[in-house]
Amino acid sequence: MRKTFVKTIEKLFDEDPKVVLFLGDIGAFLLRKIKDKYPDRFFNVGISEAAMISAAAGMALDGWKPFAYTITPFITSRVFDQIRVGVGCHSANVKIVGIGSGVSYSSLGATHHSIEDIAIMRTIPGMRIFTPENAEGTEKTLREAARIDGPTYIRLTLNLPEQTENQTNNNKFADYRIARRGNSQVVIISFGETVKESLLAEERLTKKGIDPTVVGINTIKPLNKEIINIISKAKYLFTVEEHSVIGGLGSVIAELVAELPAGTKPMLTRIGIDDKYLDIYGHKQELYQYLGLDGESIYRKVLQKCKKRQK
Amino acid sequence: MNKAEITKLKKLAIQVRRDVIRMIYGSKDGHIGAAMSIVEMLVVLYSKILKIDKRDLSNKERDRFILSKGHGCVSLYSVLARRRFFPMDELEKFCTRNGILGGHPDHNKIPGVEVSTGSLGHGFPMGVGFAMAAKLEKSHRKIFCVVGDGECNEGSTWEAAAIASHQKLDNLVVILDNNEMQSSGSAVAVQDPHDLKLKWSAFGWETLDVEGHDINKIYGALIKCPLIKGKPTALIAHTVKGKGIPFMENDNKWHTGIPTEEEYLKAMEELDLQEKHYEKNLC
Repeated sequence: MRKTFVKTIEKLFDEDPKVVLFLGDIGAFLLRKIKDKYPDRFFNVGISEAAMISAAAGMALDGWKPFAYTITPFITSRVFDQIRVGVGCHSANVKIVGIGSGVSYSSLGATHHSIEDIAIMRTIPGMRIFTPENAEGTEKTLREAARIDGPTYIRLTLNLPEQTENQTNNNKFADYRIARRGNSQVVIISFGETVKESLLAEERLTKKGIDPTVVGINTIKPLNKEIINIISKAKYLFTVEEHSVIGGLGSVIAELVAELPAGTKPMLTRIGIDDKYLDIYGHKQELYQYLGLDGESIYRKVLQKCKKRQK
Repeated sequence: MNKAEITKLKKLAIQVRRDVIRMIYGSKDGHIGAAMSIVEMLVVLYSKILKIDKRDLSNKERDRFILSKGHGCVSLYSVLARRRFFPMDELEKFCTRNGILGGHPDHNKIPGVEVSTGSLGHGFPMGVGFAMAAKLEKSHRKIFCVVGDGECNEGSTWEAAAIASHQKLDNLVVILDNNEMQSSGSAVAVQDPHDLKLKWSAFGWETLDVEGHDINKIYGALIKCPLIKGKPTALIAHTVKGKGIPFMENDNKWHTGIPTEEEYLKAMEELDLQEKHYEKNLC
């Protein structure tokens, strides 16, 4: 996703003279072409994330389109108040781009992980939250972010081999996609790189006679209303996320399920990162296995829940 | 400025102080001390410095003013009303359900307020963004921010100061309201700021000491900004918290204190005496 971010932001600079870029001393080498070509619109403000967000908000109020980019926890939780006041309260057209979300910076430890970002960012009124799955989704998302006006958070991940499969077979951005249409009574909803893991689980579940539908969410906030129709038809509903189970997609869906009419509520299982910081090192795929976010673990969990209920 | 002009602005400052006392006494809300220490700088800015057409507030070329220490807003409201940014009767509705003026300035509601402030350490960094935008547009507009010395406790202030000098934002002026007090006591006792002039200089700013209640000296400093091409300017304005009402000056009770009827009358009487003094001197 990082390479796609660099490639897409270069295109956006070429296409839109109002686009400017703030960097928190991250990615400057990869983005050097933009710096060389558009030095006036390129601001590496060093390790000053708080003032970076406020300054970006100020520029946005004057009609510019700032993208602010650095490692996710440093541009979300660290500067939450700057986002709340500068971006949120002013409905400022700032595109906050977090790279290495979730446990992407696997072996760098908990300080560099972001398992709380969606939980906090979705509390900002008017904040849109985009969670692309792969390179293709990242380009579409960045283009969509540049097109719309208002506070925007784009959650990018890193490390797993980039998926090249088309999400929608067209170039249009979509809030969500039905990654696999199966039985509408068993539904797995995910976002980001765990969509791919959910699809691996789906293949094995289908062989076992459970033919789940897999949904990939690109826009967590505002959530497309069609998602309510999907969850209201489900009997067994699973959310899978590279984020804490507190406040992320699982919570978003749980809030919707809670408001469904009595008798139509599916049994919801939230699969994500438990309420703790990661205590091991390893590659991201190893961490997925440890956290139960890999295809195998998702498969086992879904199978167990569906079988248990059927007994 | 000639003597008559100076006296006119001094009298305006007295009127602003009357408004501050009346609004806070009436609403039983607001920060008197912080509002009183910035009266002269606001009067000079809005009378002589800022190029803002109140009938065309969306004009991109307007100067920008940010009261980063948003809790001092009651005097800003008075100045804006007296400069006809909004009707005077809004002052009577301060902190009421039907009014546009709250305990901190809200840019969504108040004509002339560029940025919502109140949470310290936010307004000035947003002003840095305004200054960067002006540079990018090759505009001659200037950005003025009033920052509190207490607000200099905030780390974000210093991040923004560093960005501003690195970006060579000579279109940006900070007026530091150096009243040497903050919410819970003297600045030195609460969190020693050490030498603020030296600190702003060390962050790459051109600095100048100014008598913060001397209208002519504030004007003289502001018309010289930027002091040096290629550097942002910090005017270190030496002020008194609660200035203008002797029993409120340098007494932190008046950070959020609300006057009793007796104190209200005493404060108004003091301002009447000051006004008479200026009228006598002018004659």
